[in-house]
Amino acid sequence: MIKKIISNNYTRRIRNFFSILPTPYYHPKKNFLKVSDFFFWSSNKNFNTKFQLVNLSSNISPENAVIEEVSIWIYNSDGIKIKQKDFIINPFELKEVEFNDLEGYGSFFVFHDFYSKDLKDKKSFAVDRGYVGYKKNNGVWSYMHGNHNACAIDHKQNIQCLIAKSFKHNSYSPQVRFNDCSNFSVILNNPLKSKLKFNISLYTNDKLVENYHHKIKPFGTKKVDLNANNISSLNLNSKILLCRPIILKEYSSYFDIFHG
Amino acid sequence: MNFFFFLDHTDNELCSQCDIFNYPAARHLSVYDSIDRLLIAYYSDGIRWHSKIITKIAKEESLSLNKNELPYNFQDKSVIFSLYPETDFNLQYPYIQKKVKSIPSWRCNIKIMSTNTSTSYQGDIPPNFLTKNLSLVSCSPMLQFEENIDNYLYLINFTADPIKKNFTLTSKNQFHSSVSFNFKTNTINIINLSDLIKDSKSNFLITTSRDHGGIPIYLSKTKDNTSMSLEHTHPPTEYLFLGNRFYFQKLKKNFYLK
Repeated sequence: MIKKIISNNYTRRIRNFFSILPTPYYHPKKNFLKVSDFFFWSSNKNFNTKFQLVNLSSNISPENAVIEEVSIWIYNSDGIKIKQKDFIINPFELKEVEFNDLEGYGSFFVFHDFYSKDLKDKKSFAVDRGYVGYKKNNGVWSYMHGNHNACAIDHKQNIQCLIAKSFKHNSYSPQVRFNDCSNFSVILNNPLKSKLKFNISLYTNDKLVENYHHKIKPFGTKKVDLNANNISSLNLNSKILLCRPIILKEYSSYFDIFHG
Repeated sequence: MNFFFFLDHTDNELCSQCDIFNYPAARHLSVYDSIDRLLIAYYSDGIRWHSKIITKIAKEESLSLNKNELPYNFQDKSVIFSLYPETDFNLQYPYIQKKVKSIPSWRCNIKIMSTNTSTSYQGDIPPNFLTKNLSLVSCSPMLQFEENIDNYLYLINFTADPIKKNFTLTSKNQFHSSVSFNFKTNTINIINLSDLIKDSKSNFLITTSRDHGGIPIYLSKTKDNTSMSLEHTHPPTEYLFLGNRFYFQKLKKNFYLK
């Protein structure tokens, strides 16, 4: 009972507002059963993105894998939903979904129509945190997996953001250094229904050298390109409790992309 | 505190580097002491652990360490390392320092570098991987089939026991083309997957082991090392949010390991 009280969304909001045992996610509301990360895509004549769409029930309860209807909701960098791609995917099937029909960058959700009695009984939600590949010219697909529980939708396609915010700003320092590359990008998307403000602070030998302020529209994406000259580390500040960016580092022949 | 590792490769052009941080990514979601820490590296010779204090990292600072900067006798070994307070470490074995809790997990940027590019992921070995009996089910959609691309599977396995035990890993694809590999505990295991791929180009690889687990990591690279990709696969629990996630992990492992 006590556990139920301290973990409901109302209590979580109070905990987060006062930064007492803060928690990075909220529970999906009743009937919001399809959960997804908010994945990054980027496409132009030299760069492509591919999502490896896998049947989620096969990954969770393969003995009882089912045919799934899957909707991919694609947003541009301004947070406008520009496309929806729908699929039927069989148990153990893999479909490769490329983004070369689009231009620019943004983010996308992958909602699977999969909710079983087992999931209900165990109070769990299936979430697509699958693998996205990025490719420049004729190089390899550089893969990165999803790692957030960004949003949930109900059967009427209403959307609920699961990412928690707090009253005060929170700092996130990706555990990566930048003194081995020429340029790099910090990529952050906003699954909230309100604008997201964030700061990027750049450090040389742990001394602050630059500070940039940015805003992202609801469901928008910001790719901030930075010169790595003498930058050893960086810090993000926002009201999101887990403001975890994607990092793209550029090298002379290719790039590296990963969750920071 | 987690353990970290260097990714060794048989290609002499490639080298391994780690970016190591003496602070967690999200301080407000973590419980840790802001103190100077010793970086201690360990390897097993199959009989006992060998260790060395490599350096000290000042509080709230970071450094990049190449594997070839380790002492000479560590350079051709499978090495793990961790960070320890100056008053709480043990050189006899990979000691688990328990006073650190971090969300997200305290990680290190684990990187493979060629002359012209690098690939990396944010990696760690949770301390309980050293003490638990693990099995493995890893489902990867990350294989690449072009003629000029090589695909490798790493399995990072370390246990508290320094004995190096042999175990078998089996990889099969959707068409049930199957290959078994002999791996060792306390080793950065690596295998070229080309033999499996050449028969059937199925991009969904299921790798299993009943006897031992670890961190499964997939490396794809062009033969000339000008472009590379590195990523691990999720443990089964990562496809679930909230509730009894380990119930579903058990379901999945029972299915693939039966």
